[in-house]
Amino acid sequence: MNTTKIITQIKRELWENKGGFIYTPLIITGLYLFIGLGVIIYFSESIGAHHSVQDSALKIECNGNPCVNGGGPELFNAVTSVGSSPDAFGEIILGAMYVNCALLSVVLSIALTTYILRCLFDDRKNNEILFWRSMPVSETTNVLVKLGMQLLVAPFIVLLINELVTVAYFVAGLIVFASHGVPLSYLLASVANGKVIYIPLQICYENIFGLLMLMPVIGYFLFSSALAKKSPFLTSALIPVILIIVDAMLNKFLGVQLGIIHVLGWYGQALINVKDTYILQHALVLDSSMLLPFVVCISIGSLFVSGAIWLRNNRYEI
Amino acid sequence: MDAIIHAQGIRKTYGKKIALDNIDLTIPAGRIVGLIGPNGAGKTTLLKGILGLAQVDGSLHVLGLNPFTERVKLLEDVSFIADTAILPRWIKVSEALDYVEGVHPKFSREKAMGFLAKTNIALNSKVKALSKGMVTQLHLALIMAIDSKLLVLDEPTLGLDIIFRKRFYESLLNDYYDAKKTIFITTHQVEEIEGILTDLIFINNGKILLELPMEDLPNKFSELQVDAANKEGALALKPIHIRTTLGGYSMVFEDVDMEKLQVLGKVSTPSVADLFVAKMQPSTSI
Repeated sequence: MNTTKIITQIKRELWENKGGFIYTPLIITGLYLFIGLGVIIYFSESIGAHHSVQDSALKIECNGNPCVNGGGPELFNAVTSVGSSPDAFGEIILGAMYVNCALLSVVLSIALTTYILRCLFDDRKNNEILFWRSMPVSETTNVLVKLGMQLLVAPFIVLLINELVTVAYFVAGLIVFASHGVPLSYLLASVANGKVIYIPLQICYENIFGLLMLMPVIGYFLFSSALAKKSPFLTSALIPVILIIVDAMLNKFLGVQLGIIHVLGWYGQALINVKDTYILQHALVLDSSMLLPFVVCISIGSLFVSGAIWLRNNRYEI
Repeated sequence: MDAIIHAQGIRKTYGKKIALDNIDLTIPAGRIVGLIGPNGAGKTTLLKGILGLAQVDGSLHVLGLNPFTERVKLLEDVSFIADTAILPRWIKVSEALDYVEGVHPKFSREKAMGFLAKTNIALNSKVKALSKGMVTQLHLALIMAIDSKLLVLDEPTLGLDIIFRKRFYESLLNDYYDAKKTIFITTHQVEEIEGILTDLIFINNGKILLELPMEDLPNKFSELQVDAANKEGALALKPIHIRTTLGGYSMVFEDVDMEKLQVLGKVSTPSVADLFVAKMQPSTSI
């Protein structure tokens, strides 16, 4: 495949869907940063706590008087922790980044689901496909780029935003904690291990892996988008619902199992296993027990994607 | 010269409806071909087959390639405007230029900018903010900046006012066409394009009714203005179309010796529009 064409196709997807891929994550993160940094500034002004190092011990004073350690406003406790524990500052930054990551995950899940269900339908509905088809770009390239937007571009957008949040909280934290007397050496030592940089990279890697495990769902949605004549949402929902109902009814009244419910159950369990044993454990190497589910998921997803490409080339005339 | 389009026994059905009925067609390079037919005649279906947008039965080769199975390769040398309104409404003019430049190896950004410089289209405008005429100008600028061997235009001026339509064809001839390029146009507005055509194809009910170089038209068809006194003499020569005019009759003849007609009345070459009506609605008696 031509690299320039692929890059141009990615640009096209970003231009067309900048709301879901760029503006929404940035707005959510912007709001989160605004609120978070605003809270930090507000509480730092109201506490007036100050740390100083005397005789190799940290002494804490509140407005010139001794403070009660372990009580008082959260920021006071945070400043105390940061001052006494070398890793605390780094952990606070990572915690802020994780919160933002969770927010982005929720928002992007909705945006990406909408995207993947509409991406092969909308251009047929409004006849834009006549313009895209007038260009020497194959449907294989077109569909695979849309898949790539889900599997690679979205996680990298999350990575960039996570790094942005990390830097923002690092700078804000440096200013706030240093101004309350926590030595810079403590603050810099806390991030010297590089976790604040590589943890977002690790999250990106885990996101990509998680999305690959979701390939059957992503591939199915792409297929539905290419298949649908009127509503890809309805098409994608109706087919599995009908299959589940038919499977359940056949089982109940005739004792015959199509296996649909069993397969869906197996898949759900596989996803839970992956989450518990791989993602939450931050394992970077695939365990042998997870290899088979991983390969099965990729294979099923690839079948659906191939079906989507076939539909785009053959099923509907324009 | 090798044929740009070579079609043999092309057939396409939609259920019981026959859209294309055993069409044979050969288009040489360097021609401007008008494909004219009424609604539902099969024009768009034939174009879709040529452009690889629909699969047809029979043998069809465009630039030596199968348009359905080798569509991507074909589109490096074929450009088309299928409908003036199909540019994505969300895209900016600059993004459209960037996109075509990125995916088409034969696109010239300088040429496209040159065409756009003659318009009032701003680079940062979205297509949805442009008028229908400006969208056509933009689309035409993009397409004409591609150095393709075949340009296919399906009703390119539909819905445009006469000023834009005239500018469209002027640009096509002056800025784009040369002896190496072939243009294939479908339109209802026959009288607008007959001045620029080199070849004429009439299609109706999925069949080719006429395929003729324009230079042969005067030799093959004649229009006779005849009064009532010479009506019977004219009818004896078997006209393909007759209509009543003020003070007499107008008859169109095919492959009739002009000398025989000249004694009966005033003979001229029928316009493409009159010929179109004559072939679509033949009438041999009054």
